[in-house]
Amino acid sequence: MRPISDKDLDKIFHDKLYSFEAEPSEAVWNGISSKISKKKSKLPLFWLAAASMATIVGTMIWFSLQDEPMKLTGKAGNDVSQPKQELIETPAQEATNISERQLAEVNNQVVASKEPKENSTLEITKKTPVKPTSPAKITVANASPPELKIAKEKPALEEKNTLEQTQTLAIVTEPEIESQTEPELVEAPKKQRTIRSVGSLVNFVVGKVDKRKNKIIEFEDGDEGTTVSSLNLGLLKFQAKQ
Amino acid sequence: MNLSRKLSVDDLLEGCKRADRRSQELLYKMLASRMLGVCMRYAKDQYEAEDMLQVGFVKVFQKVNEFRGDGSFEGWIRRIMVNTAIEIYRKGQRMLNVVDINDVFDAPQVTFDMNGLEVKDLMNLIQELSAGYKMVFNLYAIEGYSHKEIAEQLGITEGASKSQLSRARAILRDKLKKNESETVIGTAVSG
Repeated sequence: MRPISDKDLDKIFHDKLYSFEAEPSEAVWNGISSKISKKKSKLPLFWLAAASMATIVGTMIWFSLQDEPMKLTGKAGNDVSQPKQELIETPAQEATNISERQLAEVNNQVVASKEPKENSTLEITKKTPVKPTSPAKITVANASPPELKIAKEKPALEEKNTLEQTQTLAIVTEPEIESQTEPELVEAPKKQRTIRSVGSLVNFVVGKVDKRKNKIIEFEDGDEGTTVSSLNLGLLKFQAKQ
Repeated sequence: MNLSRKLSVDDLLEGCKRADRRSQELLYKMLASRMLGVCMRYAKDQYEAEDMLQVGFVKVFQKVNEFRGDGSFEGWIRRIMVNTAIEIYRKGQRMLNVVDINDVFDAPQVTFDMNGLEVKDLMNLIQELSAGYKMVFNLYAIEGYSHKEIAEQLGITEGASKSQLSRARAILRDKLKKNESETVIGTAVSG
């Protein structure tokens, strides 16, 4: 073979090989096919899993940063509010009616004998004849632990005559308990509603777990059904106009 | 093959962009043998070439939405094959055997050139070159890359590209001379 130039050599190879073709085996397409179909179905699933993991981890971190430890068991504050809820629904009990009448009698005496500076006792005397709401207060007084009564007993005894001890006990302790629970009543009249919808059930559970003022999620029962009234996801907050 | 040739490669572009399976398969059927021809120049045998082809086509289907239409679709696919070959060479790692070897042995090898034997001889000569010479000679003499482009693609200097090219040419010349003197057909067939 005569010596050929670099260019000619390149040309020979280029001309013969540039458009060279060879049939690949079947296995090649099968491999491609399985790879591209795997990629398609894998990707969204992977991202879905990643996104949900991120959400869960993020929520856990957020809650772990809260100062107050999470408690699933209720506190004393909740115990006071619960019986009240029941009592609003249930009609007056006969047993309390009796003591009520007695109270009314004694109250009159108390008001007559005492200085009129105690407004709360005055209220009671006015309310008791009206009847329907009053049993609630009395049962609250009954439901409260006995220690409380005794503690309150002493100042009461000092103030009153020993004559009507047992009856005055009930009366005097009562206004004090009422004054204790009153601020709570004012603060949460909406939140302590009865559980009628899924939204209010969620509110109740969230309220048990999340002790912050703005709960992580809160529902409100409106005319158009249950709607989200407020959201608190740490950085992201939302509050429906009241 | 003849049937699918009626449809042009560009007609399948839209379908491939939608990841339509039928369009993908048609595109593959249309171009597989041509692209395997490209891959074989960069491989040492057909098995390695088929692995390259498979990786290349998976890339084509994954990246088809990046094709902006400057130049032909087939030219773009061809560049992906060449880039796949470069990538594999640069990684310097042997490919995982993605193609079942039994399937490869059973498959008939068909070449489409009239001068089948001569072309096969030339192909064998190139495949026998060592990896670096093979890359430079393919890219320069057959693909038409400049030394500057080759240097960039392979991560070597232009001087190294030039010297490797001249050594590759010397080897090929030498082997051509031997082949001519022998003129024995059997050497080309024994792969």
